[in-house]
Formats: sequence, C-alpha cells, structure tokens
Amino acid sequence: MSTSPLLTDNSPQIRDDLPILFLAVGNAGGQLISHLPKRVPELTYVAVDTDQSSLDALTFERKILLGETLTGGMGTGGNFDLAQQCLDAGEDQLYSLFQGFKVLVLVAGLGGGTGGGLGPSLADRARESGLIVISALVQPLEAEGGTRRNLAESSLQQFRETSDGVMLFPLEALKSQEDPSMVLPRLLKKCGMEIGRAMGGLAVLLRSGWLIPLSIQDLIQTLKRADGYCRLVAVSADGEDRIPHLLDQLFSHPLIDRGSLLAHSGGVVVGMLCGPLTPVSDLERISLEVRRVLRSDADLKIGVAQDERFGSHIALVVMVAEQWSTAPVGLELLAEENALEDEEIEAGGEQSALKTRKMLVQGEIELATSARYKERFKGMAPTIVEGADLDTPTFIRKGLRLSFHKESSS
Amino acid sequence: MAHPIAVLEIGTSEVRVLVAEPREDGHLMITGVGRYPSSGVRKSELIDFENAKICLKNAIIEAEKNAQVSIQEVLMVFSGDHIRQVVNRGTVSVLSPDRIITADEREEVMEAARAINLPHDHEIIHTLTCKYYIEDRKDGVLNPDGMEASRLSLDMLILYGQSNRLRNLFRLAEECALEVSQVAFAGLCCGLSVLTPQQKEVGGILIDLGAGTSDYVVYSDQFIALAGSLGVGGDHVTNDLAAGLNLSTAQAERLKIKYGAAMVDLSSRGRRIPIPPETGFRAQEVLSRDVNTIIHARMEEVFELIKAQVDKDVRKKNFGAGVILTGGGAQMTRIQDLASRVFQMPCHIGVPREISGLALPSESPEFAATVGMLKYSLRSGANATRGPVFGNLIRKMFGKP
Repeated sequence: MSTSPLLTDNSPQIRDDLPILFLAVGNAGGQLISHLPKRVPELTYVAVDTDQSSLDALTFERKILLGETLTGGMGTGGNFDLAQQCLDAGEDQLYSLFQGFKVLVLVAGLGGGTGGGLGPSLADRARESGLIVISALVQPLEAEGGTRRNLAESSLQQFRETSDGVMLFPLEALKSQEDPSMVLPRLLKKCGMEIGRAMGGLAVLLRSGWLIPLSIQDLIQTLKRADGYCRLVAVSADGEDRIPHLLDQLFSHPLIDRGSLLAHSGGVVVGMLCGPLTPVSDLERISLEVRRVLRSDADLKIGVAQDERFGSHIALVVMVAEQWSTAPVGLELLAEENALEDEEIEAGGEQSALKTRKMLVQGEIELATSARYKERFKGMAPTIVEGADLDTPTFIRKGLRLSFHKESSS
Repeated sequence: MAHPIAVLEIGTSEVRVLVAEPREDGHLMITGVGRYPSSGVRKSELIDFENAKICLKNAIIEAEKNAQVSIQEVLMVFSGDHIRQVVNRGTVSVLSPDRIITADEREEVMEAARAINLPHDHEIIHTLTCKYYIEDRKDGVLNPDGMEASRLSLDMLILYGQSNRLRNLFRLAEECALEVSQVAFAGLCCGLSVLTPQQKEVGGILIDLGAGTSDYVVYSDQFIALAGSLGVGGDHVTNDLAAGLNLSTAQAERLKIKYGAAMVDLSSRGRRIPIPPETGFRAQEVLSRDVNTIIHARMEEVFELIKAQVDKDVRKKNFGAGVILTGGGAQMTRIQDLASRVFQMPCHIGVPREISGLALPSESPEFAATVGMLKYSLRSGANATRGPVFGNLIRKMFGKP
C-alpha cells in the first residue's frame, strides 16, 4: 500500500465552541445510547424517562425522571397526554439542563409514550432555548401492530415540525437482512447495535476536527432540504482490503436500502474518518467510488477528519436524504441561461429580434426533442399534471444523467 | 351451479376475459380465461378501433374455448385519465313528527347528493356513499337509521367520465356481438377484489399499476375517500427506456420485464445487460444501473403524484393497511420498497381473494380488476345488473329504452 502521509501535520481538532448534548428520551432512547460502541468523551449524555426502572437499568452520568408525582415512576403506558403532563411538570429541570449547550441530539423510539409522546414537545422547548435540535428516531417493527404504527406516524410528523432535522432508523429495514429464525431480543439487540454505531458516527461527525471541513450547518442544510427524511449509517474497515470492504458495507447497508437510497438521493453528506497516516489515494478512491454511484445532480458534501485513535481504520459516516426539495436541474439551467441572455441583450441594447429568434430556435429544438422522446404517445392528448407533460420521460424532465450518456460524451 | 358470467377488460397491454361461475355460498369459481396482447389502445383509450376489435375477438375466442361456453353478455371494467371525482353534499330536512331518520330520509338525501351538474359530454359512473351528518355535527356517522334529527346531510363521492370514451368501448363490444350488461371503474374493482373488510376499516391506499394508467382508491375511516386515475402507466416506463437507451419499444419492453427494478441496487452497480439486435437497432449493452434509474424516476413520480393527491384531498390520514399494489406493474422487482419509501408506510402486493378454479387469476395482481368486477356484479345482485347509474349510462349510450 502506498503512503502519502499528507494528513500527519494536523493534530485532532475538537470543536470546543460547539457543546453538544445527547439526550436519550424514553426506554428506547436510553437503550440505543447504551448501545453506542464507544461514547465520544467530549459529549454529554443524559437520559430522560417517566419510568424509574428503565432509568435504573442505564449507566448514564445524569438521569432525569419526569412526572414522578403523576405516574409514580411507572411510565406513561403509551398515553401521549400523560406524557405531555410529565413534561410540563419537569419543564424547569429541562430548561436548566439545556443551559450551555448549542446542539441537542434527541434519541427516541417513536412507538412509545415517553419518546413519541413528549419527545416532540421536548424538542420544541430546546429550540425555544436556542439549541439546534437533531432528532434521531427509531420506527417500530411492522409486527408491533397498527396502533403503535399510527402513534409513531403522528409522533414523527410532530418531530418534523419541532426539530431542525430528523434522522430515521426503521427497524423493519434492519430486520430484513437478519435470519428470520432469530429470536426477538437478539434481533432488537442487533438492531440497537447498528443504530448505536450510526449514532456514534453522528457524534463523531458533529465533534471531530475536520481537515476538509463539514460544519453543523452543512448537516442542518441537508436535513432541511430533505424535509426531515434522512438516514444515517456508519461503517468502518481495517486491513489490506479495507477500501473495497468499506464500500461493500456501505453499498449493501440495510439502513440505506442496500444502497438504493444513496443512488437515488438528492443530498448526501459523507464524513471520512481516519488515522493520521492514511494515504490520500485511499480517500480519493472512496470519494470517486461514492461519486460514481450517486445521481449526477446530487448535492454531495464531503469532509475528512483525522484522529490518532483510528489508527489504520477508516470509517465512513454517511447521511442520505430520502427526499430532496429542489427544482429540476434542467429547468434551473434553462432559467439561468435565459436570465443571462436577457441580461446580455438588455446590456447591449440589441434588437429584440435576436432574442425572439433565439427563443424560436430553442422552442423548435425543445419540440423536436420532446416529440422524439414521446414516440409511443404520438397523436394522443398529452397527460399534463401541474404544468408538466408526463409523456416526456421523467429522467429527462428531472435532468438526470445516465452513465450511458456519460460514456458517450466522454 | 349458477349461470356463468364473463368479465371483459380492454387494457393497454392486454385484453382479458374472465369466465366464472358463482357458487351458492357466494364463492366464485373461475372456469375460463382469455388473454390477447392489446393493440390499438393507449393510456386505456381506444386509438385504433379495428386493431382493438381483432384483439377482443381473439381474447373472447380463447375464453370461450377455455370455459366451454358461448359468451354473449359481458361485464366491463374500464379505466382512463378522463375519470374525475367530486364529493357532493346533499342535505334534507327530517319532516316526520318524531324526527327519527328512516330509509326514506336516507333515500331522499342520496338523491340530493347525487344531483350535480357535470361538464358537457360527461356521465356519472359511480356514486359512493361516504358519511352522513346529523344537524351541524362535524363527526359523521356511517348509518343514521334510528337517530333523531331535524336535518340530515350526506357526502357522496361521485365518479364521472367522458361519455364518448365509454361509448367507444361499448361500441367495440357491440361490434364483437357482445352485450355489456354492467360497467365499473377498475380501481374500485381492485379494492373489492383484494382488500379484506379489516383493511378497509383501518384504511389503506390501493394503487392499480396498469400499462396505460395508474388507478387509485383510498379507503379512510371505513369509506372510500378518494378515487381517480393518472394517465401514466407501464407504457411510459417502456417509452422512457426506449428514449433513454436508444432502444426499440419491443427491446425496451423486454428489458423492463426481464431486468427492470424500481430501485437501483448498488451491489450490482457495474452489471451490463446484453440487448440483442433488432431490425433498425443494433446489439448493445446497457448498464443495469441506467435501466433502474430510468424506471425509478418514473415510478417514484407516479407515487409522488398520487401521494400529493391523497395529502390534498383526504382529511383523515389513518392508513393502517398501508399501500396495496395491484396490476401488472405490481410485479416489478422492488416496487414495494419504492412505494413504501414514498408513502412512508408499509406496502403489500394485493392478489384476488376468495376465488377458486383456474390458478392464474387467483395468483396474479394483474387479475385484481377483473375478479373485482365479478364480485361487484354479485354484490349488486342479479336484478341490479342495470342499477340506477349504469342502467341510465348504458341506456344513454345505446339509446335503449
């Protein structure tokens, strides 16, 4: 393996100006943070619950029991109203907890009363206190039933309204790769480990000093444009074949639907974490392979961080937007081109005939192209929905480039 | 055993005829199937009458041979993006001295809710009862019989479509010596065919992915809250592949069926698919990723458009049954994953329930609409085969008394 130790000049830089609170809400939240393979020491971890026995089982530095007088420390039993009352009762404790932090990562399960019920309001209170709130939420298994799923849906909707960004961890997606004969506790533990790894990745992503920087705003922007539909995975590898191994893990990861979400995503954030002696060629190779599978119009943000603790390991923390709010690329370009042309013509005081001619030629080209692409529906009334001609191929309207075209043009 | 009944669907990709015998316990026994590749139909609409006639005749011959019956009368299932819906509220005063609501008041309010003005050359296809409202209460009830009130309202979902398009289908059947005794919208039929009463109760979004159109029916709060048809189907996927990869339509169709998937799988990201040559088109290789990128973009758009419609028009969004897919498109690899992702709820493939006999229709989501039409006909009852709406519709179409 060739070595280009470009990264050795820099020592790990920790963002001391960004105090981050990891808050586990409810039983599921506590269990997930307990599954973190290694807690990042610079972060603060606190557990909040309405159930004393759940809190007792956790090894957190700080634990807060909410609504003891209302529930007797017995939990809310899935009652969202009761959960809300518990939150109101413990409001002062929470406001004082938020003091001094700038970012809150709220970890909760969506199916339960505490995580799903008081979680969204808690996120809201944290934002009122000036914190940036990222909610990491676990969706229940389908087998847990319709009532729980409906509660989870309504809770998720509220989280999207009260958080700056939401990351989803559907247990169903994780279950799909496991042996169906596996017993439930083991399955839940494995899912917990996987999500815990991703959460650990998020902690590092937020906290590491970056050689090629990624800021919290990069994450927030991606979360916002994804409208709260984001997935997060963390993979790592060591040894001689670590790069292909790392990429295989990423591209077949169940949390991003065996790579499908990555391939179709409009926005991706990749954090590469490595030791100081990692050669640049390794990082270039990873970057190239990731870019190769992404949509050509995907908004990709890459950061590289180093930390001696990684040794020869390389880890990737990848945040993938499930949805993406953007105008179709083709239309954006067209709008830009038109604006430029308009400016040119106006600036030069040229005759409007030139502009008209350009528009006519452009119109003819568009018509010819559109007719070619709509061969099968020739002579039929087009299917128009909200101004879009749905008979024209979607990939053309969305401005997606195919490898076929890339190869042809190269 | 009762008299056999035949259902006809003139689809964009295939003309299907199903022959069944209803048993005394209400179960349906499929005794014959006729299928013939469609020609002259695009987006579920006739564009070449003569070609379509040949296809229909061939499908009927096959079904007759298969079931060993002579088919003269058919129930017809249809679709098309001309089908629109409107929810109309009718209100009546309860005039009886005790103000108790009876079947008379219900009948009266139904008449009032059905009374709408339609655009020229449009006909009502279905009228579906949603919820009754007592006085000004916001929460509706499913059955107001026996309740006391001074005023009764009813929300009715009315599906209507262009008369001439339906008339052309009837005329085609008539040209093949077939009498159409009843018609129904494919989306509704699929719901009858594949959904259980429990699924309807907890709510769900049924999408019938056909070659010409994608029909949808949304059950919420125990009634149909939305129904419609989007003029985009599997044919558009084929066209997109042909346009994007420089293939003939036939090459693109084969590619879609054999290798197409609604999601890109990165584990096979470099895989190349050989395309055999065809007149005017050379042999080539295409990347599996390109194929699936094109399909994904189209199918994602279809689901997103339907989701936007659901978000806009359905007030209570309790869909415990999730998304249920039927039609030929439901057989595409990983289509469930995509639907599940877009709608953010579980997705299942719906296959016809409670039928026996020939295996094919009971195993395939493609037959959901035709099997549903059989059930629709049985539910309407033998005497109601020309119920108020269809009777009027068919009489108007053919000028029959």
